[in-house]
Amino acid sequence: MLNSKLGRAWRFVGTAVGFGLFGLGGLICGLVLFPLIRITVPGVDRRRRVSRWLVGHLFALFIRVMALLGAMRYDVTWENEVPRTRGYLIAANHPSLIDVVFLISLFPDADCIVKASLWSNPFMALTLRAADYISNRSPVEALQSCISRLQSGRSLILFPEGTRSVPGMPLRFRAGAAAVAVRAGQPILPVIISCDPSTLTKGEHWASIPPKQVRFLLRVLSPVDLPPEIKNCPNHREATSRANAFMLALFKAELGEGMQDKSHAPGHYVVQR
Amino acid sequence: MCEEKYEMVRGVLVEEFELDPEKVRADAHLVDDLGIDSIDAVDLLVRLKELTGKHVPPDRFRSVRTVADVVAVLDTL
Repeated sequence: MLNSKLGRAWRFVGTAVGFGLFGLGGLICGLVLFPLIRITVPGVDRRRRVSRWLVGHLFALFIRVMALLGAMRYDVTWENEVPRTRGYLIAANHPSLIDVVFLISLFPDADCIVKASLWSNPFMALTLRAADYISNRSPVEALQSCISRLQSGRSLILFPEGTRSVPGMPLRFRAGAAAVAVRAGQPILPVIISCDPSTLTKGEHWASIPPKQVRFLLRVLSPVDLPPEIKNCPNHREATSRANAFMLALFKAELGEGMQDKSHAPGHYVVQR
Repeated sequence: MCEEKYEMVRGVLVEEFELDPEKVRADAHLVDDLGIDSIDAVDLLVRLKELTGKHVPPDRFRSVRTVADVVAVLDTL
Protein backbone atom coordinates (compact mmCIF):
# COMPACT_ATOMS: atom_id res chain seq x y z
CA MET A 1 0.00 0.00 0.00
CA LEU A 2 2.82 2.34 0.92
CA ASN A 3 4.36 1.59 -2.48
CA SER A 4 1.35 2.96 -4.43
CA LYS A 5 1.10 6.50 -5.71
CA LEU A 6 -0.95 7.53 -2.70
CA GLY A 7 1.49 5.65 -0.47
CA ARG A 8 4.35 7.63 -1.90
CA ALA A 9 2.52 10.88 -1.16
CA TRP A 10 1.93 9.64 2.38
CA ARG A 11 5.61 8.74 2.76
CA PHE A 12 6.45 12.26 1.63
CA VAL A 13 4.27 13.62 4.42
CA GLY A 14 5.77 11.15 6.91
CA THR A 15 9.31 12.03 5.91
CA ALA A 16 8.57 15.75 6.11
CA VAL A 17 7.00 15.37 9.56
CA GLY A 18 9.90 13.15 10.71
CA PHE A 19 12.59 15.54 9.54
CA GLY A 20 10.59 18.50 10.82
CA LEU A 21 10.45 16.94 14.28
CA PHE A 22 14.15 16.13 14.03
CA GLY A 23 14.96 19.76 13.28
CA LEU A 24 12.65 20.99 16.02
CA GLY A 25 14.18 18.51 18.47
CA GLY A 26 17.65 19.66 17.50
CA LEU A 27 16.63 23.27 18.02
CA ILE A 28 15.13 22.58 21.47
CA CYS A 29 18.23 20.57 22.42
CA GLY A 30 20.66 23.16 21.20
CA LEU A 31 18.88 26.16 22.69
CA VAL A 32 17.29 24.77 25.85
CA LEU A 33 18.29 21.27 26.94
CA PHE A 34 22.04 21.41 26.40
CA PRO A 35 22.48 24.88 27.87
CA LEU A 36 20.54 23.52 30.88
CA ILE A 37 22.79 20.46 31.07
CA ARG A 38 25.77 22.75 30.92
CA ILE A 39 24.54 24.72 33.90
CA THR A 40 23.14 21.90 36.02
CA VAL A 41 25.45 18.91 35.39
CA PRO A 42 28.93 19.37 36.84
CA GLY A 43 32.01 17.72 35.34
CA VAL A 44 32.93 16.87 31.77
CA ASP A 45 32.47 13.13 32.31
CA ARG A 46 29.01 13.35 33.77
CA ARG A 47 27.97 15.91 31.20
CA ARG A 48 29.16 13.60 28.46
CA ARG A 49 27.23 10.64 29.86
CA VAL A 50 24.00 12.60 30.34
CA SER A 51 24.29 14.24 26.91
CA ARG A 52 24.93 10.98 25.08
CA TRP A 53 22.11 9.25 26.90
CA LEU A 54 19.80 12.04 25.75
CA VAL A 55 21.09 12.09 22.15
CA GLY A 56 20.81 8.28 21.95
CA HIS A 57 17.21 8.28 23.15
CA LEU A 58 16.18 11.16 20.92
CA PHE A 59 17.72 9.45 17.89
CA ALA A 60 15.94 6.20 18.80
CA LEU A 61 12.72 8.17 19.08
CA PHE A 62 13.26 9.75 15.65
CA ILE A 63 13.78 6.34 14.06
CA ARG A 64 10.65 4.94 15.71
CA VAL A 65 8.60 7.94 14.61
CA MET A 66 9.86 7.60 11.02
CA ALA A 67 8.92 3.91 11.06
CA LEU A 68 5.54 4.57 12.69
CA LEU A 69 4.74 7.17 10.06
CA GLY A 70 5.65 4.63 7.38
CA ALA A 71 8.45 6.81 5.98
CA MET A 72 10.68 3.72 6.24
CA ARG A 73 11.01 0.30 7.84
CA TYR A 74 13.99 -1.05 9.69
CA ASP A 75 15.36 -4.18 11.31
CA VAL A 76 18.37 -4.63 13.52
CA THR A 77 19.94 -8.04 13.91
CA TRP A 78 22.68 -9.05 16.33
CA GLU A 79 24.85 -11.97 15.37
CA ASN A 80 25.95 -12.24 18.99
CA GLU A 81 25.52 -10.51 22.28
CA VAL A 82 28.11 -7.75 22.40
CA PRO A 83 29.64 -7.41 25.88
CA ARG A 84 29.63 -3.75 26.91
CA THR A 85 32.67 -4.10 29.11
CA ARG A 86 35.24 -3.08 26.51
CA GLY A 87 35.73 -0.69 23.67
CA TYR A 88 35.05 -1.58 20.05
CA LEU A 89 35.85 0.11 16.82
CA ILE A 90 32.31 0.10 15.47
CA ALA A 91 32.87 0.15 11.71
CA ALA A 92 29.92 0.58 9.37
CA ASN A 93 29.37 1.17 5.70
CA HIS A 94 27.62 4.42 4.96
CA PRO A 95 24.76 4.21 2.45
CA SER A 96 22.63 7.06 3.80
CA LEU A 97 22.46 10.28 5.76
CA ILE A 98 20.73 8.68 8.74
CA ASP A 99 23.15 5.74 9.31
CA VAL A 100 24.77 7.62 12.15
CA VAL A 101 21.38 8.20 13.74
CA PHE A 102 20.82 4.43 13.80
CA LEU A 103 24.31 3.74 15.13
CA ILE A 104 24.15 6.33 17.92
CA SER A 105 20.73 5.03 18.96
CA LEU A 106 22.24 1.51 19.16
CA PHE A 107 25.52 2.60 20.79
CA PRO A 108 24.76 5.81 22.68
CA ASP A 109 27.96 5.65 24.72
CA ALA A 110 30.23 5.51 21.68
CA ASP A 111 32.42 8.31 20.45
CA CYS A 112 32.07 9.50 16.90
CA ILE A 113 33.68 12.00 14.58
CA VAL A 114 31.60 15.04 13.68
CA LYS A 115 32.43 17.31 10.75
CA ALA A 116 34.30 20.46 11.75
CA SER A 117 31.72 22.75 10.11
CA LEU A 118 28.97 21.52 12.45
CA TRP A 119 30.92 22.60 15.54
CA SER A 120 30.43 26.22 14.54
CA ASN A 121 26.72 25.72 13.86
CA PRO A 122 25.09 27.64 16.76
CA PHE A 123 22.27 25.11 17.09
CA MET A 124 24.61 22.15 17.33
CA ALA A 125 27.76 23.48 18.98
CA LEU A 126 26.61 23.10 22.58
CA THR A 127 25.20 19.63 21.94
CA LEU A 128 28.40 18.43 20.31
CA ARG A 129 30.60 19.95 22.98
CA ALA A 130 28.51 18.53 25.82
CA ALA A 131 28.54 15.08 24.20
CA ASP A 132 32.31 15.46 23.76
CA TYR A 133 32.43 14.01 20.26
CA ILE A 134 35.56 14.29 18.10
CA SER A 135 35.99 17.07 15.53
CA ASN A 136 37.82 16.38 12.28
CA ARG A 137 39.20 19.94 12.13
CA SER A 138 42.75 18.64 12.43
CA PRO A 139 43.17 15.14 10.93
CA VAL A 140 46.20 14.38 13.10
CA GLU A 141 44.42 15.35 16.32
CA ALA A 142 41.26 13.49 15.27
CA LEU A 143 43.27 10.31 14.63
CA GLN A 144 45.03 10.66 17.97
CA SER A 145 41.73 11.17 19.82
CA CYS A 146 40.26 8.10 18.10
CA ILE A 147 43.21 5.96 19.14
CA SER A 148 43.48 7.21 22.71
CA ARG A 149 39.75 7.02 23.41
CA LEU A 150 39.59 3.45 22.09
CA GLN A 151 42.59 2.52 24.19
CA SER A 152 40.90 3.95 27.27
CA GLY A 153 38.15 1.38 26.77
CA ARG A 154 35.54 3.50 25.03
CA SER A 155 33.84 2.54 21.77
CA LEU A 156 34.10 4.59 18.62
CA ILE A 157 31.86 4.73 15.56
CA LEU A 158 33.71 5.12 12.26
CA PHE A 159 32.67 4.97 8.62
CA PRO A 160 35.76 3.59 6.87
CA GLU A 161 34.50 5.01 3.56
CA GLY A 162 35.01 8.47 5.05
CA THR A 163 31.90 9.69 3.26
CA ARG A 164 28.63 8.29 2.04
CA SER A 165 28.63 5.37 -0.41
CA VAL A 166 27.89 6.03 -4.04
CA PRO A 167 25.17 3.59 -5.17
CA GLY A 168 26.36 1.21 -7.86
CA MET A 169 30.04 2.02 -7.30
CA PRO A 170 32.43 -0.48 -5.74
CA LEU A 171 33.00 -0.07 -2.02
CA ARG A 172 36.16 1.89 -1.18
CA PHE A 173 37.69 2.48 2.24
CA ARG A 174 40.03 5.31 3.11
CA ALA A 175 42.99 4.45 5.30
CA GLY A 176 41.89 6.29 8.46
CA ALA A 177 39.75 3.59 10.09
CA ALA A 178 42.34 0.89 9.35
CA ALA A 179 45.08 3.10 10.78
CA VAL A 180 43.06 3.54 13.97
CA ALA A 181 42.30 -0.20 14.15
CA VAL A 182 45.98 -1.11 13.89
CA ARG A 183 47.18 1.43 16.41
CA ALA A 184 44.40 1.14 19.00
CA GLY A 185 44.48 -2.66 19.01
CA GLN A 186 40.82 -3.02 19.98
CA PRO A 187 38.42 -5.42 18.25
CA ILE A 188 36.36 -4.28 15.31
CA LEU A 189 32.58 -4.53 15.54
CA PRO A 190 31.33 -4.54 11.93
CA VAL A 191 27.86 -3.21 11.25
CA ILE A 192 26.54 -3.94 7.78
CA ILE A 193 23.94 -1.40 6.77
CA SER A 194 21.73 -1.85 3.79
CA CYS A 195 19.11 0.47 2.57
CA ASP A 196 16.79 -0.63 -0.21
CA PRO A 197 16.05 1.31 -2.35
CA SER A 198 18.88 3.74 -1.79
CA THR A 199 17.91 7.00 -0.17
CA LEU A 200 19.46 10.11 1.39
CA THR A 201 22.76 9.57 -0.39
CA LYS A 202 25.26 12.38 -0.71
CA GLY A 203 23.71 15.40 -2.39
CA GLU A 204 20.25 13.84 -2.46
CA HIS A 205 17.44 16.01 -1.12
CA TRP A 206 15.34 14.65 1.74
CA ALA A 207 12.20 15.20 -0.31
CA SER A 208 13.25 12.94 -3.20
CA ILE A 209 11.03 10.09 -2.00
CA PRO A 210 11.92 6.69 -3.50
CA PRO A 211 9.15 4.86 -5.41
CA LYS A 212 9.19 2.03 -2.88
CA GLN A 213 9.16 2.23 0.92
CA VAL A 214 12.76 2.25 2.15
CA ARG A 215 13.87 -0.66 4.27
CA PHE A 216 16.94 -0.38 6.44
CA LEU A 217 18.64 -3.49 7.70
CA LEU A 218 21.45 -3.18 10.21
CA ARG A 219 23.39 -6.34 10.92
CA VAL A 220 25.68 -6.13 13.92
CA LEU A 221 28.23 -8.89 13.36
CA SER A 222 30.44 -10.54 15.98
CA PRO A 223 33.52 -8.56 17.03
CA VAL A 224 36.63 -9.48 15.05
CA ASP A 225 40.28 -8.93 15.84
CA LEU A 226 42.77 -8.07 13.17
CA PRO A 227 44.82 -11.18 12.31
CA PRO A 228 48.07 -11.32 14.34
CA GLU A 229 50.23 -11.06 11.21
CA ILE A 230 48.69 -7.65 10.55
CA LYS A 231 48.72 -6.55 14.20
CA ASN A 232 52.36 -7.49 14.60
CA CYS A 233 53.56 -6.17 11.28
CA PRO A 234 56.49 -3.89 12.18
CA ASN A 235 55.98 -1.52 9.26
CA HIS A 236 53.08 0.76 10.16
CA ARG A 237 52.26 1.80 6.63
CA GLU A 238 52.10 -1.80 5.50
CA ALA A 239 50.02 -2.79 8.56
CA THR A 240 47.54 -0.02 7.75
CA SER A 241 47.11 -1.02 4.14
CA ARG A 242 46.75 -4.69 5.04
CA ALA A 243 44.23 -3.87 7.77
CA ASN A 244 42.32 -1.79 5.25
CA ALA A 245 42.26 -4.68 2.77
CA PHE A 246 41.13 -7.02 5.56
CA MET A 247 38.23 -4.76 6.55
CA LEU A 248 37.24 -4.07 2.96
CA ALA A 249 37.17 -7.80 2.17
CA LEU A 250 34.99 -8.42 5.21
CA PHE A 251 32.46 -5.78 4.17
CA LYS A 252 32.50 -6.79 0.51
CA ALA A 253 31.83 -10.41 1.45
CA GLU A 254 28.84 -9.32 3.53
CA LEU A 255 27.49 -6.78 1.06
CA GLY A 256 28.16 -8.72 -2.12
CA GLU A 257 28.87 -7.05 -5.43
CA GLY A 258 27.07 -3.84 -6.22
CA MET A 259 26.94 -3.13 -2.50
CA GLN A 260 23.42 -4.43 -2.16
CA ASP A 261 23.15 -6.43 1.03
CA LYS A 262 22.93 -10.08 -0.01
CA SER A 263 20.85 -11.08 2.97
CA HIS A 264 18.09 -8.62 2.31
CA ALA A 265 15.55 -11.38 2.64
CA PRO A 266 14.01 -11.32 6.12
CA GLY A 267 16.73 -12.02 8.68
CA HIS A 268 17.53 -15.50 9.84
CA TYR A 269 18.59 -14.28 13.26
CA VAL A 270 16.35 -11.33 13.90
CA VAL A 271 16.73 -10.13 17.46
CA GLN A 272 15.33 -6.71 18.17
CA ARG A 273 16.92 -4.93 21.05
CA MET B 1 68.16 24.53 15.73
CA CYS B 2 69.47 21.79 17.97
CA GLU B 3 71.74 19.52 15.92
CA GLU B 4 71.10 16.49 18.11
CA LYS B 5 67.32 16.80 17.80
CA TYR B 6 67.62 17.39 14.06
CA GLU B 7 69.54 14.13 13.67
CA MET B 8 66.93 12.32 15.77
CA VAL B 9 64.04 13.57 13.62
CA ARG B 10 65.99 12.76 10.45
CA GLY B 11 66.74 9.30 11.78
CA VAL B 12 63.08 8.58 12.47
CA LEU B 13 62.02 9.82 9.04
CA VAL B 14 64.67 7.82 7.21
CA GLU B 15 64.30 4.61 9.18
CA GLU B 16 60.61 4.43 10.06
CA PHE B 17 59.27 5.85 6.83
CA GLU B 18 61.98 4.47 4.58
CA LEU B 19 62.69 7.87 3.06
CA ASP B 20 65.69 8.77 0.96
CA PRO B 21 68.27 10.36 3.35
CA GLU B 22 69.18 12.81 0.56
CA LYS B 23 65.66 14.19 0.54
CA VAL B 24 65.29 14.54 4.31
CA ARG B 25 66.79 18.00 4.75
CA ALA B 26 65.92 20.74 7.24
CA ASP B 27 63.91 22.67 4.67
CA ALA B 28 62.11 19.61 3.28
CA HIS B 29 58.32 19.99 3.34
CA LEU B 30 56.82 17.04 5.22
CA VAL B 31 53.74 16.66 3.03
CA ASP B 32 54.89 17.89 -0.38
CA ASP B 33 58.48 16.65 -0.40
CA LEU B 34 58.37 13.63 1.90
CA GLY B 35 54.81 12.40 1.41
CA ILE B 36 54.06 12.31 5.15
CA ASP B 37 50.28 12.05 5.53
CA SER B 38 48.23 12.57 8.69
CA ILE B 39 48.54 8.90 9.66
CA ASP B 40 52.33 9.08 9.31
CA ALA B 41 52.29 12.26 11.38
CA VAL B 42 50.55 10.42 14.22
CA ASP B 43 53.22 7.70 14.09
CA LEU B 44 55.94 10.33 13.99
CA LEU B 45 54.55 12.00 17.13
CA VAL B 46 54.34 8.66 18.94
CA ARG B 47 57.94 7.82 18.00
CA LEU B 48 59.23 11.25 19.05
CA LYS B 49 57.44 10.90 22.35
CA GLU B 50 59.16 7.54 22.89
CA LEU B 51 62.56 8.98 22.01
CA THR B 52 62.34 12.22 23.99
CA GLY B 53 60.28 10.88 26.88
CA LYS B 54 58.25 14.07 26.64
CA HIS B 55 54.63 14.44 25.70
CA VAL B 56 54.35 16.24 22.39
CA PRO B 57 51.13 18.29 22.44
CA PRO B 58 49.46 17.67 19.05
CA ASP B 59 48.11 21.23 18.78
CA ARG B 60 51.69 22.52 18.74
CA PHE B 61 52.13 20.69 15.46
CA ARG B 62 49.37 22.57 13.63
CA SER B 63 51.78 25.08 12.13
CA VAL B 64 54.51 22.53 11.38
CA ARG B 65 55.39 22.35 7.68
CA THR B 66 59.04 21.36 7.38
CA VAL B 67 61.56 19.11 9.12
CA ALA B 68 63.07 22.21 10.76
CA ASP B 69 59.63 23.12 12.15
CA VAL B 70 59.42 19.71 13.87
CA VAL B 71 62.82 20.30 15.46
CA ALA B 72 61.74 23.79 16.52
CA VAL B 73 58.71 22.36 18.35
CA LEU B 74 60.92 19.78 20.09
CA ASP B 75 63.30 22.57 21.12
CA THR B 76 60.50 24.31 23.02
CA LEU B 77 59.50 21.25 25.06
